[in-house]
Amino acid sequence: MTQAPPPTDAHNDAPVTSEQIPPRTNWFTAARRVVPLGLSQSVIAVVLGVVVCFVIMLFVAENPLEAFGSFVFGTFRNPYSIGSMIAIATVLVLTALAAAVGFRAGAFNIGAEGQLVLGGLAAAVVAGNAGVQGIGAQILALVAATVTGALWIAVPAVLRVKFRTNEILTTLMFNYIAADLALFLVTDFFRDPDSGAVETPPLDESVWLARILPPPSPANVGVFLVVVIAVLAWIFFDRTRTGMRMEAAGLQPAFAEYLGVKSGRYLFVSLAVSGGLAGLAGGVAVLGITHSYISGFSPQYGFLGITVALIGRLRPLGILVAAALYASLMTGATAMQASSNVPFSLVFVLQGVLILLITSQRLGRSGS
Amino acid sequence: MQPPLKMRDIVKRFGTMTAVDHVDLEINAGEVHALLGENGAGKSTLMNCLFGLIRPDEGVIELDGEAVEVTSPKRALALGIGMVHQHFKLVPSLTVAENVFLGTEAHAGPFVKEAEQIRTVERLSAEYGLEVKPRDKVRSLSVGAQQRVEILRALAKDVRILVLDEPTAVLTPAETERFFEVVRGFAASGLAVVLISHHLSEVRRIADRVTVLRRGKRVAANRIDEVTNADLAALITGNDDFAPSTVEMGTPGEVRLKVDDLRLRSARGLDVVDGVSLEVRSGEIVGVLGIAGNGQTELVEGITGLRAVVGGTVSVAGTDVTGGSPAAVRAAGLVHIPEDRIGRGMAGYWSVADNIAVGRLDDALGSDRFLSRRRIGGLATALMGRFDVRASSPRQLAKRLSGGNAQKMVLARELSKDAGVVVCAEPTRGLDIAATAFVRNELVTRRDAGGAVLLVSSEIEEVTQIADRVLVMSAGRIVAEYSGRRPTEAEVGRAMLEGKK
Repeated sequence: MTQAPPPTDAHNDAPVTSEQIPPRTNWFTAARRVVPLGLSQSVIAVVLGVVVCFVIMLFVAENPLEAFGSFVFGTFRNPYSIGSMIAIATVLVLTALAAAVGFRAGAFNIGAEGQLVLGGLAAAVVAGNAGVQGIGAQILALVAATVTGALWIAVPAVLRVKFRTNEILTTLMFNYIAADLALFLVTDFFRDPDSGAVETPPLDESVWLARILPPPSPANVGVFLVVVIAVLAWIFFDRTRTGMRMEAAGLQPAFAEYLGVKSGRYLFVSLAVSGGLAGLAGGVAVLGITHSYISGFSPQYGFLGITVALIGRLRPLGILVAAALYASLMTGATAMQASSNVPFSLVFVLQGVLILLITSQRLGRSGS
Repeated sequence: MQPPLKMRDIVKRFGTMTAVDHVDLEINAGEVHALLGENGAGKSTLMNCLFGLIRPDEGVIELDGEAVEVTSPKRALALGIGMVHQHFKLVPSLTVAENVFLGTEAHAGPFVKEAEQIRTVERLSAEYGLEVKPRDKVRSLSVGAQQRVEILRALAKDVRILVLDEPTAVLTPAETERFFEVVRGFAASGLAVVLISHHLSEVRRIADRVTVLRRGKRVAANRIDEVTNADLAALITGNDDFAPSTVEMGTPGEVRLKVDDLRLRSARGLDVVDGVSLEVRSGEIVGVLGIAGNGQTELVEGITGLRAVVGGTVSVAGTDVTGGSPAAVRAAGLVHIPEDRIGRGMAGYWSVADNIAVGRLDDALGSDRFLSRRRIGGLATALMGRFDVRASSPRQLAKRLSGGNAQKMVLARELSKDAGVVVCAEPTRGLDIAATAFVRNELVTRRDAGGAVLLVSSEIEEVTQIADRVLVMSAGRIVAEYSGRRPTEAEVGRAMLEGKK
């Protein structure tokens, strides 16, 4: 960091009549600044995070080395796990893009989980009742999921743009509303009467996203869809005028205002896109992995997306790599849980450690 | 009688800069002592030493003849030294009494003795004529009332010496009048008052003595009735004999920027720009000079679309842009080099190339739907060369540029545009000599190419060096105009400080 300037008269004599917008300095600001930071910060964070997990295993595992081996390499020991990894990564890419779009436009959508849950439910309901089969139903269902996610963030987005309500709080609270709303809708309207669990009836196989690996591997064509979306996001932010302006508005509102950029409109649109991507993630998870809406089907994909976005330095292509990495650790954690006494929730410890390390301003500071 | 406070031989250095250089100051009880000086002359630094916010490198502070160490503001208050800052430090959601006693609550065990606090505030308020209601929430108060709360906070600690840092800058004229009466009351009751100010007329009305600082040194200490305003102005600005300007006068053409009776308000409702009219012609640099805080910043914001216009009109190249968005003003043919180049003029976490490109998206980067990175890099490299922006590469983060190079980057983006009007505010603040010369030269080059340049600055030297016409701004109005020749420093300095038409 640069050294603070000495307190001189010139500073104190600053015109008091001009309204100074105090910079938002919290970890959210730090998150936005991840973009230009070097790859080294992400690499160091991931390595340190995994080391911390190993230290925890030393304390809790009966056989730490075996548990650690499963955690890190478990994914690659059989084709089914690789398929799981791909399927999870598919969803994480979308939730991470949702977080990244928000961050780059200057907003923190912490409500991806709620948008994803409702998007997933919308996809299950539309795919099950569309009256069409096959690819048509899939497209309808995914569109419904996206629209639902975007609508779910509309209220926090309007509150933010019109009334400057802190979107971190509103989107977070909307997660809880979404969870209860989904529970209510499923139990009262869409529940599968033949199932003991709170879930919608199983979807017809024709509306499943096509498998790309032999069953029961859940890897599906959704992975191609998300790669295309990530590339589009990359083109948008790096190669279009609107993308540059949106990012200026997010990174430094006073600069954007000075350039003549209408920040409010960009902020609203980007929040809607962010919510839409999270909703789509729910649709892809339901049509591609669970094949029905099951209450609690998401192992917090929405929150994990924030971590993945930060590891990927908010860059769409970085997010593809980070999602694959994180999904492999999640799949490994499932294997670890099966083969040792270390629980899956180690993934959430890793998430916390990674967020702390990535948003730290001093770690692996690159000279770029 | 022994003066209660003596500061002797105070020295404070920041790095290589000596902000306060062997300064003596004596404050008498029952007197209002004005501390005068330009921005950066060392007034606030000296007072911060007194109030324990910073420690002097050398020198002694004596209270009643005894040397004391003022290690913290808390210690200062215990010694009877209070300071009211320009920027209030109040908690809006708490009441007046709660703010006055914040951190030093009257308490019985863990319980705050609220009734006692309220009584104390009422007593002080009556004693000094500082009208406040102790139970009001601070957020419902006017700026003047908030200032009274700040003063009460100092008085509640039984201070004997009260430092007021530019107290009238935030007040309306009516509030200022009342404030002066209160300050006279302090002196009458035996307090020693130190008043930091920029305005000679104000100082003359309420001060008994003055001390003038210039570039960290004390240049005068007198009774106010022993010096004339002309003397004081000369002492403050120093009549440094700047090298006579070598820049030839421009040849003005048609009017490009016309501001007519512009009125702007601050968020607090003060008339910060109060009916300013000016014209800038092509081939001319018009300098607007004033002490910081006299409405120049707001004037620039009003012209460039960054601040809501209350009254009057602004037109750029014949197009009425009054109340238009910054985009509309730019589209009419205006470029803006902002005062706050770090916060407004660039995105620090973007590369230099992106910072330049983002201002030229619609003209210099072709009409393709998608941007070409090569084209952005090419544009940036070319402009960085032309404007001498020294960076390791166009991909270097803007925040890692030095101040001079950051400003040159802003110039590269703005001045490379084909716009008839250039508005720049404090374009060389904080820059070294070479960068300053470069920036000024670019502005003159632009003028010679037919540009209309509005140069808003608080640097007398800058404006008298390159402007073809000079307007002096004070308290939101233009109070003096010099055309056909470049005025001397003494002339403009006096107009700035006296603020009279």
